[in-house]
Amino acid sequence: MFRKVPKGTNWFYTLGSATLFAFLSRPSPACSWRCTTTRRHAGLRVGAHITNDVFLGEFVRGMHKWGSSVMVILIFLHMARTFFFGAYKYPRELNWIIGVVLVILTFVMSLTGYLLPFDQRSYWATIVAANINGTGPLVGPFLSDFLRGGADFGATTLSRFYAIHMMLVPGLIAALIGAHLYLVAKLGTTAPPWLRADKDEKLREERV
Amino acid sequence: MTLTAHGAGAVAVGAFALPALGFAAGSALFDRPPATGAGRRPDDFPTTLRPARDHDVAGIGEVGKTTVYMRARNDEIDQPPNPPARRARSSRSRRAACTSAARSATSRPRALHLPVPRRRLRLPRQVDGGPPVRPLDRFYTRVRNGQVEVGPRYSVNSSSSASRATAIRRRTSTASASTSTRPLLDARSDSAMKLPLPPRPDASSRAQAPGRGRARKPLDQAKEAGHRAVDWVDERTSLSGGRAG
Repeated sequence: MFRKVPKGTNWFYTLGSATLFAFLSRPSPACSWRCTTTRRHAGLRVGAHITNDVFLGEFVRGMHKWGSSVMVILIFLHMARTFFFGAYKYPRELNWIIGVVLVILTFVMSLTGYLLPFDQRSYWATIVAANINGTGPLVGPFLSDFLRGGADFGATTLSRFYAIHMMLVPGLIAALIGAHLYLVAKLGTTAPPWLRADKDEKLREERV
Repeated sequence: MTLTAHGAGAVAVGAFALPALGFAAGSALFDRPPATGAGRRPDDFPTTLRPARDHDVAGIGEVGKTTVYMRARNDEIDQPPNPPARRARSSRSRRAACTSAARSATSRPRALHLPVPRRRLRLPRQVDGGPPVRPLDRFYTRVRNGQVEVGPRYSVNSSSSASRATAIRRRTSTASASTSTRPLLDARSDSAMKLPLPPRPDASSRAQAPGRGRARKPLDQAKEAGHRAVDWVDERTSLSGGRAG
């Protein structure tokens, strides 16, 4: 609250915090989802069980589903603010690079999370995504096999996507967000581009 | 159901109202930068920069840690019409996390070494080359009970209006010099300054004018790639502390 910020700091500067909140609101539904799911509710009945049986389950599920879209939107708004305010320039290039990696990891979260309901739409959409990956040069076929967990699209694919979505990528994102915030705290924020340096003759003649 | 709806409404309103109240009241209640004593009388300062004391600006992390360099008015440097009686200069520039180390006052009385970028800044307004140097931050100073006190830090071109300067001076707390002063110069700085100097680039990596110097082969550049990458990251993160040497 008492951190010094440049003149002209405005609401656009809250988009990063909003994105962080959107990310932090992901695990709680996911954890409650995981904790309320028993072997008895495994498979396709998980979604129905959470939606219909668990207290506030529909709200928690909606929070996870719609929050993911909100997070992507907020990331793009945050990137646009950073780009148009020139906040990617020296000495903040490293923070921009970390941000780009974070947005890519968010896309990976979106891709892997889309399959997890395992209904018709998510199933076929993810097949299309895996096939598109397979058309990439050199590594494409290997990447497609890696995503599917073999030649066929099935239970192994679901387990693999679940592990990536639940453990691997969230850990990477959390670590990179830590580095991102460290650099923000270290380097501070930039002033808006429309803000000019004050011209005061008395102070200007003191310049080193 | 009614209770749940009202409870949810209260939480939603509170989520906006409480931070707004906090931001509105926090600055007025708590943001009062204290003035700390430099522990010297105004006439005691030399005309060359000397470290007066370490200084922390609370709440802004590493960027807030600085060393205050102070000197008296020097007619050789300070020009009319209104030169101040004292100059209190930070070891930080507006380039975030950039520190400078003053070299020995006897060997180079008017030079600050900037590790980022690694260049020497001669005072005043003289640089050896490269892009223009941003000015170092300053401190407000005043005299209370015959002692010089150091007030809040300000950036030269971010806090220049007279009204803001007056407001900051007015907000400066009136802590007594007897309770807030510290010895001006510790044992380290009683003699000539012995702050560590930043490493200087060797001749092979020093930038040459176009057309001069030997052509750098790709193998040479590859050998330096790792060092340059670490240097690039360190320059932006200050993980080595910002002052190597």
